[in-house]
Amino acid sequence: MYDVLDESLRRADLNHNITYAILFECIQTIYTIHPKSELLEKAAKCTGKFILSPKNNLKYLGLKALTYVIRQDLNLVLQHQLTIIECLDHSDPIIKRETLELLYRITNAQNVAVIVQKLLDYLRQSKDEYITINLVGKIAQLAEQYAPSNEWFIQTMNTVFAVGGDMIQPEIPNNFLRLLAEGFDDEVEDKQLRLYAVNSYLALLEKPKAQYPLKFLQVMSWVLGEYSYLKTETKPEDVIQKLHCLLGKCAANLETKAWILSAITKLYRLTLNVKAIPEIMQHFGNSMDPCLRQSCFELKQFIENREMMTSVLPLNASCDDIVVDASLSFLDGFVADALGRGVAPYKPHHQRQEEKLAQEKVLNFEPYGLSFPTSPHTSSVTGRQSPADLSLHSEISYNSTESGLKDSEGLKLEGVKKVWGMKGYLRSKESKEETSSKAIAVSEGEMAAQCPSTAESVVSISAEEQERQRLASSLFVGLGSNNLVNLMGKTPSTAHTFRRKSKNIEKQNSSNKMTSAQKATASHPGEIPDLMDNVPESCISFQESKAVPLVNAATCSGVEPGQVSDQAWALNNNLIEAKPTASKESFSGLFADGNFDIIQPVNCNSSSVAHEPVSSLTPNLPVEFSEFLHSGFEQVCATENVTLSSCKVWKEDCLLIILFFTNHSNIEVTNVTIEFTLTEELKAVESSTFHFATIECHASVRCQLCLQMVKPCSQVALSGHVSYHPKTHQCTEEKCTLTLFLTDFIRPLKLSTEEFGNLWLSLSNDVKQNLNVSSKSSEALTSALNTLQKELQLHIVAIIGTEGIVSCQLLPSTACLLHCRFHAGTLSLWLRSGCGVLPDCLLYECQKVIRKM
Amino acid sequence: MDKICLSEEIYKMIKFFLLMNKQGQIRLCRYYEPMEIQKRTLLESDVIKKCLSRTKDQCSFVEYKDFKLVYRQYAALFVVIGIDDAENELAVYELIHNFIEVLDKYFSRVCELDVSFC
Repeated sequence: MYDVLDESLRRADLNHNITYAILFECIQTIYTIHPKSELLEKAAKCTGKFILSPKNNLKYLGLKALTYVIRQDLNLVLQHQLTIIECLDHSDPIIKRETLELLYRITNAQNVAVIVQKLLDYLRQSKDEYITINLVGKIAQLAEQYAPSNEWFIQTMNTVFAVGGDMIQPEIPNNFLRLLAEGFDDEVEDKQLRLYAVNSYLALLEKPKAQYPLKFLQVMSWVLGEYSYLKTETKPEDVIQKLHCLLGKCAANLETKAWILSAITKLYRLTLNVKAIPEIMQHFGNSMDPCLRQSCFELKQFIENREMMTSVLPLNASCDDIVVDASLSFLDGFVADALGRGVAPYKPHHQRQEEKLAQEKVLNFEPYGLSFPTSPHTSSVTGRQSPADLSLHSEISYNSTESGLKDSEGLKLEGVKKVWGMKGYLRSKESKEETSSKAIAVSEGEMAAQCPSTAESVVSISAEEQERQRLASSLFVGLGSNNLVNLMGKTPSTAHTFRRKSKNIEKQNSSNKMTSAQKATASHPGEIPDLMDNVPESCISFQESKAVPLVNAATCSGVEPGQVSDQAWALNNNLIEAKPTASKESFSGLFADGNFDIIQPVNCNSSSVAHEPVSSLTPNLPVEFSEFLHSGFEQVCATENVTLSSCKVWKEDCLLIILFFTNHSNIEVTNVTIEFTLTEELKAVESSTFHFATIECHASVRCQLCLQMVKPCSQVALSGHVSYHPKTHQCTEEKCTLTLFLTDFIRPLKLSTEEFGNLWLSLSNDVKQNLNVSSKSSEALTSALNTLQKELQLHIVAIIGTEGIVSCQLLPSTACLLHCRFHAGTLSLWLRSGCGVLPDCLLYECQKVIRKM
Repeated sequence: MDKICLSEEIYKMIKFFLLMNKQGQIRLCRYYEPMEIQKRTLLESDVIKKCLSRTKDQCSFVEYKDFKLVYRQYAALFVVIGIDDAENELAVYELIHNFIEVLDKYFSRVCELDVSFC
């Protein structure tokens, strides 16, 4: 540390303020830590420079530094005493103050008088309260410590009291009085001191128009009361007279008056002249202040009972300890008398305490009036009762820990969903749903377990809002802080996890079946649908991922898909937890291992090149697509020579339209271009134009168009034209149209209830509709939703009682959530989506489906 | 040693930071101690009075109530910081200057308008 300080002091050559600030800190440190002579020297030099600097700021700092210096070394002060004296008379009051501060610290018995004088001067001309208080304290301290003589001391204190006024702290007069009372060991000196005090006060009081601060008056009166006897020349009556005058001055407040009265009382020990007393009694006997009244009556009593007075108020015994009988034994007689008269005795202390505590802790559960049992129908508002109503209805049930769930006479709970149970919010117990069916079963079981009382039922409240809110809160549980983006992004993968797992389970069952089949690709479509049946989703992801590269491979060589699988695997290795040794030949090997992730359609080659000669003329769906849900073939356009037919394949992430261009004629056809003009609602993932150079006679080519719907609408017509050039004829162009529906682009959206809840709250476009359902049974909802699911490819998230939540997405990624409630033959649908048009369109579709039911 | 430091830390304090113009209008005020609104206005008017009554050659550290004010005048703006006894006054003085320099750099030749309406 010394080195650091040394260094700092040395480097501080620059004439900049901040350097000086640092220097000051160094000086401060040096004088605070264990002293080292060199450093002290350097610091002293620095301080000197500060003080001598013409700039006031630095002077101030120098003075402040000196206050630290003098703790160790007073020589420095001596060195600069001239400067300091200059500073004392400085124009700047701040510097003056600081100098005084410094002086205060260097006070000793020799210079005390001067310093105190200076301080008093400053005190006189200062108007600031804080400064006054500060200075007064300092002066008093100095005076007490270093008083050269008694007279001086008294004088100083008097000045302090007079100048300081009422702003001084109460300790100061108290200390002063105590000092007087305790005195020194020397009796003579004591006497001298006190006498002097008395004299001075009397002199002061003589002055006709002097106004003294109240504290001063108090001090004076006390001193006079106590020690006037010392002044034998004065008659007590005079003193009393003087004090009486004081009393008369209205400036004196009640406290001061009390002091004065007590002084007068003390003075009466000395005299028998009681002329003035009646007047006093008259004045103060009826005063409002109890202190004054008390003093008055005391005085009266003392006058009448002189012995008592002398015993109570001995001369010069203010510092004697008063012995107090804590048990108040002198009142025992009084107490005994009272008890004899039959007065109730005092409760013992501990009993009193107990009672007090008992009173505080226990709440009063006594009802103010009788509680009237009312029937549920009288009150119109069921859910939102006013507290007044509740208090009438509730029983005296302060012992019950339940929130009134059990009380049948208590809160009206018909139609209120039981979401609160003994263990808290019931919904929080529901596990995350992985499969919708499982979740429903589990949740229902749990609900049944936790609700001891009646089954839930949603009450039909007139206000739609309340219903909505209640439903929302009851259905959408445990809303975490799931990132929406993640949610949407995750959806396919969560879907996949689900699928994977179920796949694995089922795979193990049928894997034997699978592995046995070596080649027969034809058999696979037969087997795969078994799996598909177990899975609610129709599209199988990994197959799709497989399908795409299969197309790649197949295009080049029309090889058996099974054999290509190897290469296909290599292509997609990074995403596959592959079992590389799975049987390559069979398609089954492909599907035996279900842990594939979805591969973006980008991986598939642009289908403009993907034309493959198809063996037969009749268009048939390539094997890889047969696993997907697909429509039949329809002719888009046909001439005598060529036919264009299409087949829709509903893939997971897009609508795939497989187009078959068949050349029936015997002539070669060249320059075949199939082009589709996409309206704004649709978007092609890859190109929408296909070109084939030549098509042999009696051959057909295939291409696929991958579409997504960007702007939802119920129906969109995809128009295009085909141009071809048969060899012998001229170029021909045909128009073709395909109709696409919204349902082609709806895919299920796998969500758990929590995720649904999150998503629900973040979406805003609402559409609501009530649909009439034919059946009124409780199964209607389930059947309706199942139908919807099947027809429209929605995904049921959960069905609880008469409510169900369903989710779906419009490709590419617009989510749409449905909330359905079944009540008395009506299915209330509430759709919510991020896109404005989608709920409408979807609702229309739902309506169609329901109507068909 | 650490305990001592801690207790000293508590008392090393800037109580407030004010930017006011000659008419007593506050351009910026920041209090680091809880203070009621009325007290604040009182304080501000007091402070500006004290600062205005000082001459140029007098030192920049004013005693006010039980703490000190360090003020610095820049054209028509007064920057006043209220500190308690444990602070190094000159360091705070330089702090004010540093602050003004920063403002200057940011606004490039800062003026009172910048501070009022930034």
